[in-house]
Amino acid sequence: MKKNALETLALLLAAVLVLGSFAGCGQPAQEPSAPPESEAPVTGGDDTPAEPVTITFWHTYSDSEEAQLLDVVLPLWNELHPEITVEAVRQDSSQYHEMIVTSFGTGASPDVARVDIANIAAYAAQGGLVALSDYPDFAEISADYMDAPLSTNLYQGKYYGLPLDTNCKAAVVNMNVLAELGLDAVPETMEELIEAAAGRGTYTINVSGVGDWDMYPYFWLFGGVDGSVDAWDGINSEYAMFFEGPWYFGSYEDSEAKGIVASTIPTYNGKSASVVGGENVAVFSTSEHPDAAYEFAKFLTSTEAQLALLQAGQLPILKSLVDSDEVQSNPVWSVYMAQMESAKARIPSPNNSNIQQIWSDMVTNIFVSGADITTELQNAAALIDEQLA
Amino acid sequence: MDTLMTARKKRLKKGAQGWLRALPFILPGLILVAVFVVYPMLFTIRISLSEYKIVQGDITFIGLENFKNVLAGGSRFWYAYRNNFLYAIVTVPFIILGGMFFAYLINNLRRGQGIFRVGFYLPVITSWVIVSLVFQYMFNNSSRGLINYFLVDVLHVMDDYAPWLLREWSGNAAIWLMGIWKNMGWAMIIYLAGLQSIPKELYEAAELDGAGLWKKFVYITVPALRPTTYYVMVNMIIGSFNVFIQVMMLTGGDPNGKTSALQYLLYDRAFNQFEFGEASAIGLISAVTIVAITFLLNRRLRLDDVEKEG
Repeated sequence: MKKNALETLALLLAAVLVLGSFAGCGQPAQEPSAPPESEAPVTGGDDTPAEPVTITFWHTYSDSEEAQLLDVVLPLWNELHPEITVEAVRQDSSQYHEMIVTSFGTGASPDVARVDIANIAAYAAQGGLVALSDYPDFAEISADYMDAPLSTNLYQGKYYGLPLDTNCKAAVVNMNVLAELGLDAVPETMEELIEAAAGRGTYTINVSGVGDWDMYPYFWLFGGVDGSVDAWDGINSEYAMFFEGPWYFGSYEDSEAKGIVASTIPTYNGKSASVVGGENVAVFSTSEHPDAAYEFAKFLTSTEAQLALLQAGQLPILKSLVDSDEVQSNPVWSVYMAQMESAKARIPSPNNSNIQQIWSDMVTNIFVSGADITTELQNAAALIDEQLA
Repeated sequence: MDTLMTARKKRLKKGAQGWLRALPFILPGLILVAVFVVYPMLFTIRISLSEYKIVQGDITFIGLENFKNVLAGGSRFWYAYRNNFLYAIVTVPFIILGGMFFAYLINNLRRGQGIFRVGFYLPVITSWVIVSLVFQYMFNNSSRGLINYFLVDVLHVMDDYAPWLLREWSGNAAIWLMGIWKNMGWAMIIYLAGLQSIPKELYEAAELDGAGLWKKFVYITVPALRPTTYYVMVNMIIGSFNVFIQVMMLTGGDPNGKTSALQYLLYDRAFNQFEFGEASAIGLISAVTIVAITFLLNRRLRLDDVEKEG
């Protein structure tokens, strides 16, 4: 009898364990596929949803940017669209791309997300994004966007996102070094700078890295520079100039006190050049409420939202805001928005990461291994053509 | 005849009963292994033979196409494969000798064993990412890097700052160094445990014969630690095929994939190029390699004999 009771008890405990393990592994698998209950299916396809819905918005805003989003932008949205609740989820920026790719596989993608401009074509090629240019009002709203940021959403003739914020590289200039070179203002042209720096005996211009984003401005400007040392550090003492995004100037007052200012990139052969950066906002094809998500994406590109995000340093993508007081009165923003005029977008391609690899391999070969520049460029051009074909 | 049959039947029945009784107890483990190990493994094999469209979930069988692309698709795979072997060949001897040596020293300390044990083990429990950042700083390409600073500004051995992490061999050396530094403490702890099992009498007898610290180490400690060494070696060699964070954080495979490793290549194929089939193929190739190496080590070192000796 006693032995039997013990056996039953053991069996019971084992059964609990089995059930426990079922519950343990069952839950995470279920979560992505089953929509939360608040997301009731919406009736009516193209109409604005009448029933309350909740959409998820992924972003990688920093502390101050997120504060602006939560305190200013989202309350504005709630006033306009009380029926659509936006759940803003801040993701770790260093793993963001991996998060999105994983979400493609698990079906746990957000409805709408802020996406790096370089990734739109790749996500679209995977079938992960909704073609927003299929919406009838797209032509109208897209006319307000600046061309270069808008172009980064293009994939096979359709636009898979709306531009959200933009930036580009402009010149970060050390006035003290310029003074050593006998220049008391940022030169208008590269020719002037090169002449002044010719006898200095050390590197004057510097690059931040070997990737496409770092090298394209130089490449497009004149296709050749010197330097191997860390640019962010070197600008404090050694170099007269390097090209970087607006985030270099965390505090403009501090930079100015050190004699470091922002300037448009001096022209070469009469032309300036830069590369477009920034983020787009895209709607995911797994979204249950793509219309609501598109509505929210459009709202983020509205004048009010763009101005609110500008306060946190996110440069606007609306043509109408380029000459606005808010932009022009700021010493950094005004320079970068002026530079935008000569900034080009990297060719949008789903093979972007391959192209980046070919590019940085080529630059590394030239600078680090001292390979022949012409051969390397020709080889790289052929390889990149293959990727674009 | 009849009795024999019934006896066998009885035994079978008894065996089945035993299994039935044991089943509830091993079932949780079986289920967990099935869900988290066996199923993903089979799925990986399936993806490696297919074209996998991640958003739609379409899996189309394409045979060995992925393996062909990986093996014949340029030098990146072979550099990564080579680097995994080089990593094992370079780091494992250092880890084994270093771990054994320091364990022996610490074991012979009269005081302060705890401090040294913690000190040597600290790298093991430190986050890989943080250690990578420190190594990145040390090997930085500019004057900010500790090594460049010493070689150029303090010792004046070199004229110009070297881009350590952008060159094939110095980049690999940084990856190896980090692996050695990070894993030596683990080997040391295992060896410390191994040292406890060596009978004191052996050392006493050796002392009577006039053997010093070094002779005792070479003739008693090293042979007695053979099973431990085998264990450390197999673990470290398998670990060599899991090198990832160092590569990602220090070099990113630069220049041109010459400092890459299989796991980094796998990550790059999957997450940057959406080639999940090729990534799975790389995963399988490394798995097969690890199994083959472990098998060979087993044969060569005759694990059974080693264990009997120990």
